[in-house]
Amino acid sequence: MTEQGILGYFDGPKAIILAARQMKKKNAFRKWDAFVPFPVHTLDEAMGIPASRLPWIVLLGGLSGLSFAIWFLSWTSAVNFPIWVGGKPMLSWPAWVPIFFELTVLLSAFANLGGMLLFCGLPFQVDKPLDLGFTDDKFALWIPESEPGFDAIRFETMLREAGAIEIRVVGKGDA
Amino acid sequence: MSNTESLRQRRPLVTGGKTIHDITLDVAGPTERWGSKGWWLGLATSKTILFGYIIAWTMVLTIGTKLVGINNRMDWGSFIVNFVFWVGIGHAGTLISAILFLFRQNWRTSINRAAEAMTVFAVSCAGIFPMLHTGRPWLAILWVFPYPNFRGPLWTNFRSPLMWDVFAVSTYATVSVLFWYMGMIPDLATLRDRAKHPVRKFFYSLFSMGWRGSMRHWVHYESAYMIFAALATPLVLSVHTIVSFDFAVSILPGWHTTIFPPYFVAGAIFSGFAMVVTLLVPARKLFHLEDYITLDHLETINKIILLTGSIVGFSYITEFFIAFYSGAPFEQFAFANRAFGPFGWAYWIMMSCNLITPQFFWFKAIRRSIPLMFLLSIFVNIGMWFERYVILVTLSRAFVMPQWGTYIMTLWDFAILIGSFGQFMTLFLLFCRVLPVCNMAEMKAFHPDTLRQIRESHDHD
Repeated sequence: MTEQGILGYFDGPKAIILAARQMKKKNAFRKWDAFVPFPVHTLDEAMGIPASRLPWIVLLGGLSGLSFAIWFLSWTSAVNFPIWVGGKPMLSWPAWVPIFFELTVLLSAFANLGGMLLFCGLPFQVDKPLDLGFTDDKFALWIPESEPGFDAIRFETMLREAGAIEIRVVGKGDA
Repeated sequence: MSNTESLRQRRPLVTGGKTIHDITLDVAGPTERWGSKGWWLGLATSKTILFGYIIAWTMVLTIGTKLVGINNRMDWGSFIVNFVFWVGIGHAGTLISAILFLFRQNWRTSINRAAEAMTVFAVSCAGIFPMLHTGRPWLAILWVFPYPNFRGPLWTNFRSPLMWDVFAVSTYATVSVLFWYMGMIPDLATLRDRAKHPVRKFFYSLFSMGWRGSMRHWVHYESAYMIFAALATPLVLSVHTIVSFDFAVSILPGWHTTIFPPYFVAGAIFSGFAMVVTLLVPARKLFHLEDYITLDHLETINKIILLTGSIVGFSYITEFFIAFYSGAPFEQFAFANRAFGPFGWAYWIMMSCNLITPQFFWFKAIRRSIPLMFLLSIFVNIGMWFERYVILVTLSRAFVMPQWGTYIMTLWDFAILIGSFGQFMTLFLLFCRVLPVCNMAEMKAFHPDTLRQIRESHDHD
């Protein structure tokens, strides 16, 4: 898959934040993105990227871990092979709290990593990096062709006005 | 800059006028160059010890546990001591990566990766010991899975602290690996983008999962990082708590105490931080990371050693006092025997290493002296191994005298103890050459210049 769009390079976190803020005022960007070597705080707000909904996935993971633990321990200890241990009742749940806790954490952790990759579309997003410098020290705003009302010339001027130090038009067979 | 901010800011976390590009060069560098002489020497030594380790436990598994010091009275031996010791070492890594993250201790950025690696490798060392302890691990599999019989599958006893421990340690190992790996994805992408050789490129591409620094991805990444920290925080506290239950839930004098969970957790963090010093002092020199892992970092670690060491020392004294105050004769005897019985020497090694050693860190000059902190960290490592040893040999004299016994570690016990360090060091040295030792993305985000630029962007509002 070859992506098409415009890349505007900026020379640091401050420049890219101010540029994103300025451009956001002129056009309601929906699909745009930025490529940065580290999470630039406040850039997400400036670009209007919503907060992650990952916590909900993790909550689901944690609840399934907890409910599985409750079911499994009750079933094995009281239904499948009921056996008296230390004069405790069959459903001696206080003695299972450590296992409840551990399984809750375990499944939450899997849901967390899995959910993050799912939300990012990784590892199935096979697009090549547009510039090898984005994981080193380069900062750029990316306006893909799928952006509503994509107009290469208009967006290029907009990037330039916002202070881009370099503009690259990524076309077919270019990326 | 307001007053509180200047207090929080303290000294810059990256020194030497390094730019963010320099961070990439310095951290990725060791993985791209041929190893230095020191590294090869270290690897050759650790590898040799590792081979000795493999031979030692192959002998113990094939010939039998008669080779080691355990006997009818002391059916828990050095394997359990080593297990608790290594799990404890791991705790510092999680403390740095999770708890200090939640407390916004930004100084952790340059050391968290190495500390998490230490956690993963220490837990992998620990994991071997319960298996060795069973004597015949291939039969122990039957102990873990339901045992088939005429009435149906006989499940393991989930009310047992040993079973809790299986869940705690395996969850801890898994979550530590996931957390470590997730934090590494952006840095692996950096290595991928710098890779020239196709094999390097292939593997880093595989493990970086197509990360390309998209801001939309960073938002999810940061959310996931925060959640991992929030999950790992109670988890790390639970792990050594549950390890301490292995002892505390039994009814033996000297073991059956409520102080065990907090005192085990403090001891774990204490020993783990000492191991962090032991590892980072040579590593920062070997890989020229002095501008990232600065003396200020090491000093802060030493302060934590002082704090946790004092908690541990205080617990020793409390434990002793409560034994006296309890009026329970067996409990009183267990403690008198600990200090003045046949294993008194171990008790006093433990007391001097864990109670006195950290107190030297009250002095700033010692906290900031590399050779001294290295030496003291070794003493703490020794002391914390002996703490577990002391707890274990309490077993040799419980209740009635005809049950008494003694415990002598054999050559094989020592070979396996020393050998486990070979495993740990080999893994750590390989990690230093293959994976980024510092969290590059996070260090770039906390670079003084980045912080200034982001602050200035707020002023433009």
